[in-house]
Amino acid sequence: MDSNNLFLVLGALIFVVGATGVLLRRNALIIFMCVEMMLNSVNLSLITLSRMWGNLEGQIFVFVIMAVAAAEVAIGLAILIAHNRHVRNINIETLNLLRN
Amino acid sequence: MNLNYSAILPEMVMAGGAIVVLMVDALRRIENHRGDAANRGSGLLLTLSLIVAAGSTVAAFAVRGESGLMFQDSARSDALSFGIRLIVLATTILVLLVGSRYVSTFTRYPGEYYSLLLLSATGMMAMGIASDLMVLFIALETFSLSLILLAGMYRHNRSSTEASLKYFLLGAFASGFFVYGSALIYGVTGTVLFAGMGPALQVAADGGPGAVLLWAGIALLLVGFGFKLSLVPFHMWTPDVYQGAPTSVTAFMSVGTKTAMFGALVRIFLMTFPYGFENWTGPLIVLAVLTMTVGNVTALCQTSIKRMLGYSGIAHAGYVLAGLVPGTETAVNSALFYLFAYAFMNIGAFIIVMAIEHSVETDVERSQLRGTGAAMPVLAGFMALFLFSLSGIPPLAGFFGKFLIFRSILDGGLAWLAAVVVVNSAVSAYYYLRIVVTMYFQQRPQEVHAPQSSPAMQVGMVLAGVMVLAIGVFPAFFMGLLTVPGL
Repeated sequence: MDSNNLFLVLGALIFVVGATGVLLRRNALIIFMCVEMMLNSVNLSLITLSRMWGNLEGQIFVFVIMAVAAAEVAIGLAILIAHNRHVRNINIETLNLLRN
Repeated sequence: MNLNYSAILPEMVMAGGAIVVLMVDALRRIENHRGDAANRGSGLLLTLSLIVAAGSTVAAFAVRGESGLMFQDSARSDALSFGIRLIVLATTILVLLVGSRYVSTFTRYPGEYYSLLLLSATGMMAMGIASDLMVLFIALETFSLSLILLAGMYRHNRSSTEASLKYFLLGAFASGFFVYGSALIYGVTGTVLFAGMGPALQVAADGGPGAVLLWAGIALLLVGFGFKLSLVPFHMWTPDVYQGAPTSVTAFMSVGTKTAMFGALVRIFLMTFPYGFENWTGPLIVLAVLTMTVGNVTALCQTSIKRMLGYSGIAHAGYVLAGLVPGTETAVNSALFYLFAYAFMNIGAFIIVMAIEHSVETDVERSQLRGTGAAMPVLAGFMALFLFSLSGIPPLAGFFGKFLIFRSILDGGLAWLAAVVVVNSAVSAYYYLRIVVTMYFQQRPQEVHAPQSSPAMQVGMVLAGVMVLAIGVFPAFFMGLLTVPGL
């Protein structure tokens, strides 16, 4: 297996770890970090694919994803703080006001 | 180089307008920095936003003739993008018409509310023109992130921040799937441009190299779409977010998100990946049937009107998806028509909810509607009109929407799927008409506060009502407006 495929497998593994973390963890901040991990695994895959194809589109896509992830961080942390002001806790078990 | 700026004029007007509104708001706040004047001049912001939305609508009609690829093939202007623009703009205008007084009940920063609303609409319209995985992703995030902020706009209300946090966590999770799917498709085709994907997709769809990656990528994209469109089993966030968010935001996202995502779904699955589309009708049918059925059955046992409309919104997404399953020109046209009709009847119903709700609660229980038929005849009459249309009673807009979807499914030779749609419609009629019964045939409790509808809200209500009637009476005209010729 050449190194490109190894990077793709690594990217897929990190993605799975991130997605599992989102589903299993209970702390909103950790979930948020897991989402970032998913996005960064996509970045790794894109860079590898870009090298395999020998064009730059994948690398430009990585910059787009990084910019969007930065915007997401700003918004996510702001919302976390707003929620924390209400309940003094960021465990997602506290998201229990709205349900059937 | 084909930088055809005039073809994206509607989006540019909206985005520029959002920035102007934000600047005017900043100046307004410098003018009256005393706390008690926080809402002075917010009418100006509303007027400005309405002018921007109207200007964008005019621009959309003016550049309707521009069609084809532009910006190095990364965007496409055609009949589909026109349809998406039209529905999103109608949604935006109706939601703006809710008025500044309602906005002042949940936020002290009306400028941010209006500019985020316009930015979100820009993203939704851009979903319709995106013809490149990167542009699609940026458009998706532009409208999602704005909507997340809008949902949390009522910062001092715990439900609102909770809705916003839930939407954020699940939305970001869904974006992860969406973007990984995009990466895999780039891996198969070597390009992010839809226009350049054809040959490689054809090879992969025929079982050549990259077939596994292609199917994995499409499945991941579908998961991302499923979350945003709130298809069952990815729908869990929808009712919570709809209930917790300020009602005007709920109205906006219920229609806008669906429209934008369906536009992108058509663009990707019917226009770019037609190769082997028949392999995907199976999963799409399962998703559509599950979505309609679960949405309708769960809506039956809701007491909160906003939650009920949330679950019924899931069911409506199921109808539209079922209509798209045949993958033909008729299918796309019927889905667009349905979304157009849905915009007016659903936002109309939400406007009535806003008029009736208490400002601190931002939710209405069904019991609160008891006796409104006698106490507020006009409001109740309009509510009944919207609910009749949502349940698909002729000759209203919703009936023709359902009829066209029904016909498209039958043309596709899926009689049993059409039967499922009809049964689901009947189930939905039960919970819609139950509200009408509550309004007209149940006793009014002692303490009912007066509705707080503003003149702008009344204009919006009447406009939505007239459109629901007009679409029902002159369906051919609106079908002509929204026709997408060829695929």
